[in-house]
Amino acid sequence: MISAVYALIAIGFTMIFGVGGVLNLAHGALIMIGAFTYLAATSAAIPPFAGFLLAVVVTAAASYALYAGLVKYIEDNIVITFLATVVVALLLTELVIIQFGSAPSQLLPVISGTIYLEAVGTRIRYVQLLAFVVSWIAIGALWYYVTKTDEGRSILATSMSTRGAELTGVDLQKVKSRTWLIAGAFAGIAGVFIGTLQSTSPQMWLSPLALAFIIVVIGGIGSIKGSVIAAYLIGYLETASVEILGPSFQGVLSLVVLVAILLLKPNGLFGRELVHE
Amino acid sequence: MTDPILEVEDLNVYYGKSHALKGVSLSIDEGEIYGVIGPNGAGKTTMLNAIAGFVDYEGTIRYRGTDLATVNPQQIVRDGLIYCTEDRDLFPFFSVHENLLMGAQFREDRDAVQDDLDMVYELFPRLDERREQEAETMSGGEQQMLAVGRALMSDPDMLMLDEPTLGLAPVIIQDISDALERLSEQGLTILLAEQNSTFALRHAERLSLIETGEIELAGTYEEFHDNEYVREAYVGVH
Repeated sequence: MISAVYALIAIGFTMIFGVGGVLNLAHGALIMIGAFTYLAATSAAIPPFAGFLLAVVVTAAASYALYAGLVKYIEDNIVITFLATVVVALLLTELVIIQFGSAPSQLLPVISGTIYLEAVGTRIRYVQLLAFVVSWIAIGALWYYVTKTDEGRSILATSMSTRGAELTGVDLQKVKSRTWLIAGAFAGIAGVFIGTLQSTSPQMWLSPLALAFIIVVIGGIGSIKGSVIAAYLIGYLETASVEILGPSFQGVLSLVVLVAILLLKPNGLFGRELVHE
Repeated sequence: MTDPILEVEDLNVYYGKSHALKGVSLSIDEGEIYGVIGPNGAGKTTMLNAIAGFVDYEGTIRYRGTDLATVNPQQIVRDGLIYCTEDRDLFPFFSVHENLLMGAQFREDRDAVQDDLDMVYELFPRLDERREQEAETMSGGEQQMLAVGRALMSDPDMLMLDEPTLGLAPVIIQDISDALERLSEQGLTILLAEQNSTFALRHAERLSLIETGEIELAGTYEEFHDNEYVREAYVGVH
């Protein structure tokens, strides 16, 4: 079920790369912003559901601010942009350490309790189920937006051909702003659920970011569908690795698949050669 | 006499130390087909790129009286000046239908958009037959039709076509030719940049010849048709 959350992270990461060619290493730090905003909200006695909404809004705003306040001015230089997002990620991590300390914190679940799923013979937490449902609602809403509306379709179009988008009167600044907002909102949702289901610490973003990177490469850079399928593939491979090889080898099968994909299908399962000018 | 729809005055473009366009001036009237001919690398595409706002330039370009230096490429499109590039710049993984819808993405007159969609499918029946086909899987000729169709979906007042016949089979060139004639009859202004001088001379009412970034000759169709240098160097008729 956590795979759907990883898909959210990977989709945000791949959309930002798709429309602007930016490898946003601060995307992981946005996950952390989401988790810590939720922590701060619930610590201040704000109800969990309201805290969750606040975390999503704050993370989306932070993502937009990162674009409008920094990336927008340097995005023509890929290397400088890449390095700047690394610096922002490290800076945000330090700020969180100063504010909250470096020890892991426990998040109050958005919804408490557990449920026994007879069909699969296992007991799961409601919050796991909620993470799955909310993630799929978000993915479904995004899919509708980018395939059925002019505004959303412009995002996909820009990821295929920037010049084509300009020729059809697409406002590239608006498309990029919307993309960073959506990616930020998705990172906020992911942050709350990963923080709840795994751990909330200033380093919590490293592993999801690495996984998102693997997912995007396997699924194909720029492909939303590829990100979703690859997220589930990675999820199953990690579970299989733990069951077959043991907990210490959790990432082994994923890495094997990653290497195989890079060798056999370098553009990924649903890779599309981007037509950036 | 009506005001020109497009005026280019003393246009200069530099690529580093290379002086790509040297003081180009021309004026295009509403409803005419204006041809720009010249060899590969003469500066035709550079001129269109400057008009569309894709390269920096010196000089003045006015569209319907507005200095285009003051507006961005998106606004130029929204004002009805649409550019079909030589590379076509389609959305490769969108279907024909989605590519056409993208041409109209900024329009709010939804009923008129549907009418234009019907018009494009009627103008290019091959596109109608391939509505769901991805653009990247189409032939060069079909992609060219789609590029023109997408441009028409933007409800243009003026169309700039860069090498619309390059690499196309004669039968497809005839289809493009027929479409241009119909669009011209409907009053659309067309700026046609072509190495294929025969094609340009077939359609244009006035023309310019560009060589090494400069306009060497400008005049009417008759003047070009009767010019010995043009006939020998560009049309292949002696």
